[in-house]
Amino acid sequence: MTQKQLPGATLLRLAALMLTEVDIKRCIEPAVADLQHEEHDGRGGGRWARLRNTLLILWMLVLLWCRERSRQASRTQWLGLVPAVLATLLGLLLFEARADNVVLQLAWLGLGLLLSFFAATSPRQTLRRIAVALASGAVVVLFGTAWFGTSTMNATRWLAIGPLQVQTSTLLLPLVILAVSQKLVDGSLGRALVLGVAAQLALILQRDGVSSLALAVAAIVVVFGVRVASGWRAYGISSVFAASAGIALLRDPVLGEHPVNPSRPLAIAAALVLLMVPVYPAVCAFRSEDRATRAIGFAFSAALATLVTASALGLSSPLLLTYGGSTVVGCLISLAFVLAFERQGPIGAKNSGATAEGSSEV
Amino acid sequence: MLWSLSEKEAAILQLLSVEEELYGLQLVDRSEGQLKRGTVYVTLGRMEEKGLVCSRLEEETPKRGGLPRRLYKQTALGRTVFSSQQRIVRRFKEVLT
Repeated sequence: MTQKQLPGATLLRLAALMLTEVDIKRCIEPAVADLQHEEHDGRGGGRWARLRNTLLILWMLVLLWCRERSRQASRTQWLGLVPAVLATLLGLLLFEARADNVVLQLAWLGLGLLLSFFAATSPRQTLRRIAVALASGAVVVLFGTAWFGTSTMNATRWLAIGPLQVQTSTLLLPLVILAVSQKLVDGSLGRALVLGVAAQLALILQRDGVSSLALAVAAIVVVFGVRVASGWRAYGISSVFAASAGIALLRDPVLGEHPVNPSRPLAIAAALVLLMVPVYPAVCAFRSEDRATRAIGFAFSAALATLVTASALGLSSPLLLTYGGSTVVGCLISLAFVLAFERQGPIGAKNSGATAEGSSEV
Repeated sequence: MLWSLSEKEAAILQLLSVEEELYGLQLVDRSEGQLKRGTVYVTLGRMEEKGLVCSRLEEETPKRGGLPRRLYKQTALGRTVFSSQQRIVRRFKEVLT
C-alpha cells in the first residue's frame, strides 16, 4: 500500500497550507503515523474510526493554526493600523453620517480589521506563495466587474453583492500590488508586467483612474526604490505603467464628492490622521535592509499616498473619511501586508536578529 | 516557566520515566484517561520545544507504507524538572499533614 492510499495524506497536504513546517513535523506527522499504524494493526479500523481520526487531525490543525496566529499576532506592530482606523472613525464624525451609514461603515471596519488580522499574521512565505494566484483571481474579478458591474456616469466599478455595492478595485488592488512588487523584487519583470498591465487594462475598462494611478505609482516606486531594474528596462516598465494610468485617468469621469464640512478643527485633525496612513509603510521600507520588505513598504506607502493626494486634488472622495466600505477593507489589508513583512524580516535570517521570524518558522 | 509543569506534561514525564521510549498513542493508552488523542501531540511538540523530551523516528521501515512513527523519551532536563516537581509536591503534602 502506498502512502497516498493511507489515511492522512490529504490532511498532510492541508497542513502544509495552514501550518509551519516545525508544527507539521512535531505534531501532525507523528499523529498521522500513529493512526496509520493503528489502522494497519486492525485496532482502529472501520469507517467510524477513520472518521474519528480525520476529525482528530482536523481539530489539531485548528488548534495549532490558532496557536501560531496568536504567536504571530503578539509580534506584530498593530500600531501601524491606528491611523487608518482613526481616519475611518473621524470620517463618521466629520461628515455627520446617517445612523444606517454609521452601522454599515463600522461593519466594514470590523470586516477590514478581521481580514487584516489574518493577512498580518500570515507567514511571509505563505503570502509570497499565494500572491500571484490571488492577484490573478483579482484581475479576473476586475475584468468581470468592468463587463458585468454596476455603472454610474459611465464608470463600471461596482459589483452588487446582495444589498451591498462593492468597489472591487479598491478591495482587490492590495493583492495586485503585493504580487507585482513581489515579482519585481524576484526579478520576474515579465510576469510583473503582464500582471500589472492586465490589472491596468481592467481598470481602464472600469474607468477607474485613481486606482490605476495608485498601482502605477506603487510599481514605479518599487522599480526605482528597490532598484529591481536599471537603464532602459526600468524606464520601459515605468512608462508602461504610467501610460496605462494616464489613459485610465483620461477615461475617468471623476466621481469624487467634495462634502463641505463646517467643523474646521475636525477637518484639520482628519487631514493630519489621513496623512499618517502612508507613513508607517514608508518607515518600514526605509528602516528595513530586506529588499522584499522594502518593496512592500514602498509600494503600499506610494499607493496610499497617491489615493490621499488624488482625493485632495478632487479626483476622488477622501480616502477612508467618506470613501465606502471596500476602501476601508482594502486600506487595512494593504497595511496588514506591510505589517506581515515588517515583522518577519528577511527569509533565512532566522538566527540573525530581532527582525527575524520566530522559531516556529522554517 | 520550566518549573511549572502542566498536568499533562507531568503525566507524560511520569510515563516516560517508567518506560524509556513510547509512541504518542501508547502514551494515551497508558495514561488511563489523563491524556487525550487530540492534545497529546501538541503537548509533546511543546515539551520538545522546551527540551523536556526528545524524539526520534522509528528505525524499521513500515512494512505497509505510511509515515514512520515517532518515539519519545525523557531528556536529562525533563527528568530533573519532573523529579524536582515531585519532591516539591511531596514536601508540600508533608507540611500540610
